[in-house]
Amino acid sequence: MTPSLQRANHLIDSGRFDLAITELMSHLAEDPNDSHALSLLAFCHLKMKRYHNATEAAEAAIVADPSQAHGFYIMSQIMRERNQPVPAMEAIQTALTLEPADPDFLVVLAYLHLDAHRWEEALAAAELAVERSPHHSGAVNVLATCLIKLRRIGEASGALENALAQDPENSQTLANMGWLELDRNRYGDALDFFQRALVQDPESEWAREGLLHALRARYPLYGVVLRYMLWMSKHSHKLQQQITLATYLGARLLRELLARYPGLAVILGPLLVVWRLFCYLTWTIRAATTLLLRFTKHGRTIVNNEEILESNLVGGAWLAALVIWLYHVYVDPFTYLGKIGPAVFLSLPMIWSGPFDCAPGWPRNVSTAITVVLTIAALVGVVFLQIDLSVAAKCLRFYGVSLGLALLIQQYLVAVKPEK
Amino acid sequence: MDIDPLAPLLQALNLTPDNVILRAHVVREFLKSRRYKDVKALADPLLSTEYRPLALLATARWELEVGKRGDASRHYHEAISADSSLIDEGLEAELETDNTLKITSTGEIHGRVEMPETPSSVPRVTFDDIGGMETLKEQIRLNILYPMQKPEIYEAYGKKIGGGILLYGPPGCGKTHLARATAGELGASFFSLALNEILNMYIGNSEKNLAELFATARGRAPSVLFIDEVDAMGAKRGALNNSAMRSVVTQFLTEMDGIQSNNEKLLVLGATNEPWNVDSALRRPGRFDRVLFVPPPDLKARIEILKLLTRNRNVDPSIPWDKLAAQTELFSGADIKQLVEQATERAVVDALKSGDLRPVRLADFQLALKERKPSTTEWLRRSRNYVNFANQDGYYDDLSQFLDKAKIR
Repeated sequence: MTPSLQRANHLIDSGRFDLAITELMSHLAEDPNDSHALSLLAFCHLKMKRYHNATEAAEAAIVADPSQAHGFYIMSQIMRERNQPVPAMEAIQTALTLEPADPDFLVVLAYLHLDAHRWEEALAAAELAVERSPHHSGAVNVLATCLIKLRRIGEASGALENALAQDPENSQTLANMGWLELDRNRYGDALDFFQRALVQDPESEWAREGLLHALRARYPLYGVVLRYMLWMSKHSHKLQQQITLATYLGARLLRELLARYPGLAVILGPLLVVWRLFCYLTWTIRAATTLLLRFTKHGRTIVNNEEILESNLVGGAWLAALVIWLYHVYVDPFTYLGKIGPAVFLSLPMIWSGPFDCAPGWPRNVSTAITVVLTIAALVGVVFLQIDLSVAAKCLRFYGVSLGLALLIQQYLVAVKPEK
Repeated sequence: MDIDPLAPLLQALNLTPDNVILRAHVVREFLKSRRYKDVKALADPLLSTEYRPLALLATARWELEVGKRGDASRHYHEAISADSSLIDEGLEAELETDNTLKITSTGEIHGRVEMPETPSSVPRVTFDDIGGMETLKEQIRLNILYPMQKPEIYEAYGKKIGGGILLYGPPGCGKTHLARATAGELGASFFSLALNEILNMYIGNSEKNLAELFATARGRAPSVLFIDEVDAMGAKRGALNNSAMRSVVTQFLTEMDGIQSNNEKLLVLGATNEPWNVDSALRRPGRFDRVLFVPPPDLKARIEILKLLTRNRNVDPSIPWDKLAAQTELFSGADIKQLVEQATERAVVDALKSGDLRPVRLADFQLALKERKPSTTEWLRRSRNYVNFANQDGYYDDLSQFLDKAKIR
């Protein structure tokens, strides 16, 4: 092993991937076909999120020595990060053909199945990984994740507690314990686990996200929505879409029934109101609770810029709705602005949540474009309510008719992960 | 076919060999491209001009290249005495390493020489060479300079002198420069241990080498031992797979504690961009128990840096440096250097096209500013996570204050 390679190994251990790349390049200048060094180079580029360079280095590692499983293993991780599940699966399966007993490879395989919501296959891979290496924290964590998805909460808890007994400071295990407690509606315990996870790894987005959920869940309405979101996340994408469609059609049916049989209004009326309120909350509660969190010392520090922007937008729209409504009630009860304006401003946050939910890249761009067009139509419509009613009617009709379709498209876009 | 990117500059210089501004630019470009073998011939005509310091730097680089280390050291120090903006830390590391200790790639120490009466490694840079940053300088005075300059006062209060201080902050903000200036203020010998040397220790006869390094520094007390990228030395031991690495860290901790030796008047200054990667064992009392955040330069410092970097260039004297500096909020020293280079580049390109040697104008800086963003932002945003979630012991309090003031989330 050349001194450069030794230095690179140490730098990788220390997390200095930028400097390790320099040493690896220096080693590769002497031995350009060293497959191990090339796969380390790919790993360093991956850690630096330089996906193109990482892919090139992993390809070179595979070409240099196709009998080495490590190159395929790194390639599968790169492809997973780049949201390309098919080549990722091919690479990890090749790696497993070469070295079937490696628990690291099995962990990646389990995560690829999890990404595709194939819980049973993920569980099989995770169980095999734990069988091969019972104290492998990555294996135990992926096993627990699979068990949570399959609603085998007791077993998941046992696995994570064992992992914590082995390594009480493992950030990933602590964060997973937090998510497990969220699933059990034990928000205080979840908060504690997430905080401990973040002390160990302040850059863990998995733990920060969980911490925000735990903090927001202190507001009862958010707790209801969170339970729904966690329940939905345990289903396949297809089933999630079917559930959404079924509830939408169910609501349409209720409306039809109400129209045909007005006598059922006593039962169906409140049901429809609750359903509409719940739907509205699923779009807006996150931003609303972020707004509330920003008034707390702890909450203020953990929300990021995007969350602040989203909460500002929602807060602004609600404030506008309130001001117009107050004007309508106390100053001039006969304007169209007072009658329609609050409804428009209350509905706008529903489409505003879309771009924040979408992955960066084309899904977010498309979602943003839809949101901007509808927002302009709505705002122009509201302004023209006081100037020219025909223009206002056209704009608001376009907004009203397009809103439902836009929400459906945005929901589809949220599930899309663009290739990097 | 490879085209020499400096060929048009050389061509222009051949046409106007007496153009000292262009010649100085060409010399800078050669230094930047590490073409040291050719640089001396280009720089020689500048020795009798206002660009003499630059010419001396170029000469020093050439001399080091051809093995004339002593001459290189002499010319380099003459250059930076005349113009401290020419400080070249890479060159200094090469000169100093060979003058004091050299740890080879096998981890052995070679080339140890007797230090002269006044060690050549006492830096000539002082706080006067660093514009602005008054708060930080005051902190350094209180924590480092006064205890070593007025030990009797500190001893009277039972306070220990020496020990370790960790400087941390975003890259390119002058931690190394500050460490050097600190040693310069103290008139202390300056020993530096660079990342490569730390890494080489892991390969060879490491613990013994480290002990020798500390012993030498103690022997030259008062002295400052500067360890750059200290996270590579004291990376969390849990993360270190290699037993050789672990033993080096253990030896380092022993040396820091001074159990077997006296560390009085030996100041160990560590610098890191990744303070969160530094082993918590290194932060215990007696080791790096004091930390100082080195922020991006403040407004006054940025004005000074801009003036310093443009001192020997053909720059429009009416440029309002304060207004320009105000637009470089969060820029590191290295970013400002790049900005100046980029602005100059525009003037040079125009000069090549038109033959008119116009000065670098405010507009050149404004255009360059549009293309540059502060490189420190990413580091500062990342550090916010550590302030929020890993600051139980107040380790990042000064960083926290800075982030709040700069409104960085």
